Amino acid sequence: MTKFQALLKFELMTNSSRYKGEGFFFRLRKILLTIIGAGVLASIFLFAINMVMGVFVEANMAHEFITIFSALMMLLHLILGVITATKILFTKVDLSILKLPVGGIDIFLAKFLYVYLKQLSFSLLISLPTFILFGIKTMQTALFYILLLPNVLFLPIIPVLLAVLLSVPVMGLIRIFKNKFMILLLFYTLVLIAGFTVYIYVLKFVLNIFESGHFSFDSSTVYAIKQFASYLHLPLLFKNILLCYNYFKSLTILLALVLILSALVYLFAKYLYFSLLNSSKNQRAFSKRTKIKYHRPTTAFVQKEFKTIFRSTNYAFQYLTIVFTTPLMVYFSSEIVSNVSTPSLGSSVLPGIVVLVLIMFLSMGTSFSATSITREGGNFFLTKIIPVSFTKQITVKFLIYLLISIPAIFVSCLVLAMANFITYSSALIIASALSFVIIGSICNSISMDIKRPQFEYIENGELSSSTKNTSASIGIGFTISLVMGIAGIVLSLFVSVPSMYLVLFGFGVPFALIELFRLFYKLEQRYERIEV
Amino acid sequence: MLVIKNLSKKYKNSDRFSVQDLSLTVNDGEIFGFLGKNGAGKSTTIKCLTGIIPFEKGEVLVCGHDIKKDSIAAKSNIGYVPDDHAVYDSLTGREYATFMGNVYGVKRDVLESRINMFASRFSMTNALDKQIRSYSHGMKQKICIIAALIHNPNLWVLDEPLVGLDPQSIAEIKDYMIEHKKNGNSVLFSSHNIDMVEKLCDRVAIINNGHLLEIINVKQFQKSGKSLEEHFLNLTKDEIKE
Repeated sequence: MTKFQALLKFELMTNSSRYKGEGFFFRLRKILLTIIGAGVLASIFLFAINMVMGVFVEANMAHEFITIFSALMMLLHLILGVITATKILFTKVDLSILKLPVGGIDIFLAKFLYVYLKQLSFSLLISLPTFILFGIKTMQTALFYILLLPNVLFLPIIPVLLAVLLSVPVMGLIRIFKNKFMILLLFYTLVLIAGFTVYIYVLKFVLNIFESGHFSFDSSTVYAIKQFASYLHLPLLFKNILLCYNYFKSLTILLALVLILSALVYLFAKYLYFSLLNSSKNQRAFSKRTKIKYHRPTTAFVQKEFKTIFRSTNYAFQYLTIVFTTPLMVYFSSEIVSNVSTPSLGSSVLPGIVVLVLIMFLSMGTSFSATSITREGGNFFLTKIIPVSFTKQITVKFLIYLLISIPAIFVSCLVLAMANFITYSSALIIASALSFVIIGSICNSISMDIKRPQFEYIENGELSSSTKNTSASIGIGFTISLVMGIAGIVLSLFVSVPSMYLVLFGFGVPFALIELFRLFYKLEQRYERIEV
Repeated sequence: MLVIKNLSKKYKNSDRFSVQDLSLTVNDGEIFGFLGKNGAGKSTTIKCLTGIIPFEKGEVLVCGHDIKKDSIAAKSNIGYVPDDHAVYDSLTGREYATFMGNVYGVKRDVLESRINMFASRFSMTNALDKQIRSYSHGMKQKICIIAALIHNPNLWVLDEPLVGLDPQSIAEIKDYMIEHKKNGNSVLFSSHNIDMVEKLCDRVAIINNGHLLEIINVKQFQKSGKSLEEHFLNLTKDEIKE
């Protein structure tokens, strides 16, 4: 094995550490599940893109479709590439690697190749089947399928090269905003809202086609799309190569661009990268002068818990951002589901839909509580040595989750009432009933983590990937959401809306009580048994 | 101060005892050392007596309080410094020390004066308001020590406390151990550094393969003219050969 191969293997291994410490069958199962999950998502995507493609082809805009699709894929490769490149080249670098007897360019190249391979896998999963679908739909010749593979391989190269160069200003921004926790929280919340809004609009467009069975662009839209596509110069080159228009000219321009960018990246790697890397590791630390105050242990615990969540971009996003954006996500999703269902089923199904959507989104937020113990990581011993009962410590964590989740439920229901999806009284009843469901879900998630905390998932003091308990918590939440949502829809359709409320309380209250009992009964003994 | 009676501990998924039938007493106003090679059972014993891990058999009494039955009272008397200097590194040093002081019920005035005193003593004053994430290994170890001492514990327990510290910090910690002992408190620490243990400790326990081999009164032993290092190596020789 050459030094370069060893470095590349090191990159691949260190960046897939979520499988670390687990047995062969667990890893196999996780890999299979990842493949199945990716396959399912890709199938849904292809189903949708097939419909969109059909509309474009029908409007005689097959070439525009390929151009716009290539542009979108390049943009996505660029965004994901910048995120990965910043992480792999700067924030997630173990400086001890620089002490090894290997050349700096080799280290950089291994990291670059990792970023490219990650984008390539994405391209193979999304672009390749889309191009094949396009070929079938537009009855392309064999040459199209031959030219398709180099196109798929080439598509991520320019975005990745650009991403490497852009990672420098991004790293600069990270340095500036690293310790501005509130700004970061707002930024991530806005990004999530923007992403979700785009997703909803795309979904609405697809649903519109699906619902009407037929969709076509009017002449002015066709003209606007054609005009827009003609300005996408770089994606046009890919379209030309794929469809054999000005093949050699397009290929030459593309290769020249790749060469220029590669030269710039080489110069960056040779003269700038390592000095930037060293300076990025010697950043000014977050500093804050605090007054020393006396607090009761419980209050001290609340403050500590909140600070550890708030000051971690990762945790703040996983919990605060998700919960804060729940009302908006619930509003958009309810709108879509109700648009699809109310014409055929009537508006009486709306409360059931609201229940389904609300529990689904809240489950994502409450799954954070399934890492209550795991997140302590190396500090877990502290929870054992301090003279504060385990019951009190767990109660504090439970209350913090509750203090954020319960208002999110009420705000979501208020938003839905204001948007006339449900009445204000319905909103109050649903919010109250769902509060019990969420209490039960939080307790269940914490219980799972007490039973089997997964400290092996902690890297550099933080939990960066989802644990088995998180997945289980989301799975349980989604199941409850489906069962309660469908039961709600059926009951409000065939019996009455109040009967749905009865079922909601009938499930929620006992669920909360049982899970509260399961969490706190013999908690001291169960917590004491946790070993590090 | 500390009484350990017939302590036995077997980890989950392990077929052998990490500590077996271990009994010892640490007296008031005593510095007690724990010597043993890697995997001998030093850290396991310390983790059992501080309540970090559960144990199957035996009894641990801290200032008369059973760590299992009366754990809150027992833990209130212990200050523990771990071997891996783990701390909540998103907090600043001052926030962490304040949190630990609050958790142990130290009143505000006392807390403030102790934080300032220890920070000055361990040369941490300038770093106190910086996030612990930016600390060096030695600084993290020092903030752990400050946090462990914030409630002036009767029993100060340290697991390999001096690894990676600069000579000034080592000297400062050794001085504070002696001072802590003079105030009638006890110190129990594990170490591989036989020289330091010999100079600092009143008594030393040698542990191997989870068994307590011998408890040595250092002053009496020194009178015999033997070397503690040679004695330790002889005691654990068979296992080393294996």
